[in-house]
Amino acid sequence: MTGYKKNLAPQFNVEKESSFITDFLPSIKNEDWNYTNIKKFIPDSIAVQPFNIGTNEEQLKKLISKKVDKLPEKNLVFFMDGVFQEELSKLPTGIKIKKLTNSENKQNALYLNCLGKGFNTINNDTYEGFSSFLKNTKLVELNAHLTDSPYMITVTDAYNCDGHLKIIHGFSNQNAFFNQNRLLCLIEENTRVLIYEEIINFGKGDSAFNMVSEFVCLEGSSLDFFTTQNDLTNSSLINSVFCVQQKNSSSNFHFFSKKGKLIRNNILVDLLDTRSNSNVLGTSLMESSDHLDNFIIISHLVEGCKSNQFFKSVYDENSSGAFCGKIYVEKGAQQTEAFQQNNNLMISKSANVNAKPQLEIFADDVVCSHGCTIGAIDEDMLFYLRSRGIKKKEAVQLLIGAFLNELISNIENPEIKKEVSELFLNNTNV
Amino acid sequence: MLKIKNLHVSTESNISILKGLNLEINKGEVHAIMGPNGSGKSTLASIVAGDPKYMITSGEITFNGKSLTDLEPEERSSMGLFLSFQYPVEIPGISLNNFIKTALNQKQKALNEKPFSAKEILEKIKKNAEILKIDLDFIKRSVNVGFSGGEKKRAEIFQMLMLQPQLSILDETDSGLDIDALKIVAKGVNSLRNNNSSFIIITHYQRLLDHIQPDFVHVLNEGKIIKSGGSDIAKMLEEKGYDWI
Repeated sequence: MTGYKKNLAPQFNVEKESSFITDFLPSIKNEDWNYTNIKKFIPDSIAVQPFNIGTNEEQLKKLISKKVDKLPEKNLVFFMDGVFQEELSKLPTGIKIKKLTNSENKQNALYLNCLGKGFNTINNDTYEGFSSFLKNTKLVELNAHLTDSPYMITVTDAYNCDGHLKIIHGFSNQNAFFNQNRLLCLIEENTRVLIYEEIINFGKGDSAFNMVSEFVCLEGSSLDFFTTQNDLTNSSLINSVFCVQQKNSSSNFHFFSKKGKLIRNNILVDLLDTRSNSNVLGTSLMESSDHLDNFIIISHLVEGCKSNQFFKSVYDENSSGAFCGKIYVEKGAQQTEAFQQNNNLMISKSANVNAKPQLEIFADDVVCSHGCTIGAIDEDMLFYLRSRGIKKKEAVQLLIGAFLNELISNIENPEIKKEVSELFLNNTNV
Repeated sequence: MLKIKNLHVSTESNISILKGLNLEINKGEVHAIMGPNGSGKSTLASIVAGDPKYMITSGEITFNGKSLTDLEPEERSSMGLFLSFQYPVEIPGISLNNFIKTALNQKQKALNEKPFSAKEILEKIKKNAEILKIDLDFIKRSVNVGFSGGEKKRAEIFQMLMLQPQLSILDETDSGLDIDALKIVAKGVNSLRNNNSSFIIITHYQRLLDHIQPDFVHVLNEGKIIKSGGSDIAKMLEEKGYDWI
């Protein structure tokens, strides 16, 4: 339990440890956190996940078999409590995993800021990475302090795989901890990878997860990253994803959010060099009193890049949510094409959502757009379906499925498409 | 089969539209309803189908002896009522194919019948698509999305043939159709016509009635039927307009 004490940075007063977490939790007065009162979800008294829980293999297998029938047969990277499980993983050729040592870990709140410099081809000394966001969201810094030795996955050009690489972040979580997890991922030049990430809570509900993932896409590389956020009943997830992209690189993110007391996604993409592009998509269906907050900033720092944000959410029962999406276009980033769309479908009168689309544009030769809708089920569509004998409840299900299927139907990988369809479309046969 | 007695209907915003309408339709009969714009024809179609935008303020509608007033639209559909919409709504993301499958099997369920197998449904689809000269690829498209006016109407008649209703209400199904499409739609209606199925055909034009011979023609004006008779009324209206009445 006290494993983290000795590793804490000197500025933390160990005497005050029980409440030091509070210093890292943003208040709702913080502009980036207007719609999510994090203190409601993460109590001061929450216990921090200790380093190196050291679950032995037998215990581990027992835990896993309770929750999942079997782990995927191929291309699997399996982490348990932030520790890479070599025995349980199936690493394909071309994927390398390295544990970063403490000296590499130091007090860098964000590895990208130091990693990024080495291959920083952008001739812009003012590039500050994600520092302004990090000032407002100290949870990322907290993650760095509480993570012992994160892993770095390198996708080398020897990787050549048609299917997907599955990454499972498992947590044994016996005491409803505040769990930390950190992952770095480097995609080498002209390499293509599809990652499907899943968090599995093998332990108690009623816990919190603070995940940070950093991606570096080198020249000509292509990253597809899908993640499902479904196994978080009564739990809170703060998921921060940072991505920097070099020339001619592309990234496609798709977040599937369904079950979690709190799901907060911070998704930040910096397009550092020309002809890079990024799509950030989200599909979600929220119920009970769950809360979803998607916070996105895509920054066009040079000319000739493209980006697209498209988030579709359904809110039922007492669920609530927020969408804050920003397109930032730096001075001189001409011929930028950047789009943003957010559609929210409200099923219940007691559900609510806040949407805050933002454009910040300092270049004059750009094509940018944003669109946002919040609406109920269309009464004419509902009557049409019912007039053909389809019961109201089923008709509503059909219309929800049709709404969500717009993004799901474009998933190219058949296995992921099937899993996601089962998650959201509930056999509605759209 | 369908009995409408002294029916008064208002919109949600309390505008009175039907003002004491009476109509009786028996098994196997085809009734045409004509009337100037705004006379209440579409309201009549909508209220029979159970559109929640309209309210019955007095009077009664019964279908096979059962009052429709408190029944949901889906219950009316499983009893054998069908409305071909004047303006069919576009529903992105739901294919016509899956929509009709879901509708058919929900109806079976409501009638406590066993669901149709995929093969049985496919056979029905093929048979009816052929009558209406519909390409099978068309059925894979999202319901009414990007359909031309004629395609939308043909899709309505296709759904009607699939569901085999006892009473079909065709609300200006002929509007926007070219001559060939009109003949195809009429062919579809006539293929369903028998001693047990009835039709209410709402139209502005005599030309549809050339292909579907009505047993009765009614003229609706200001929320009431002001004249009823045989098919000769339609011909007179075509020549002389509504002032003639």
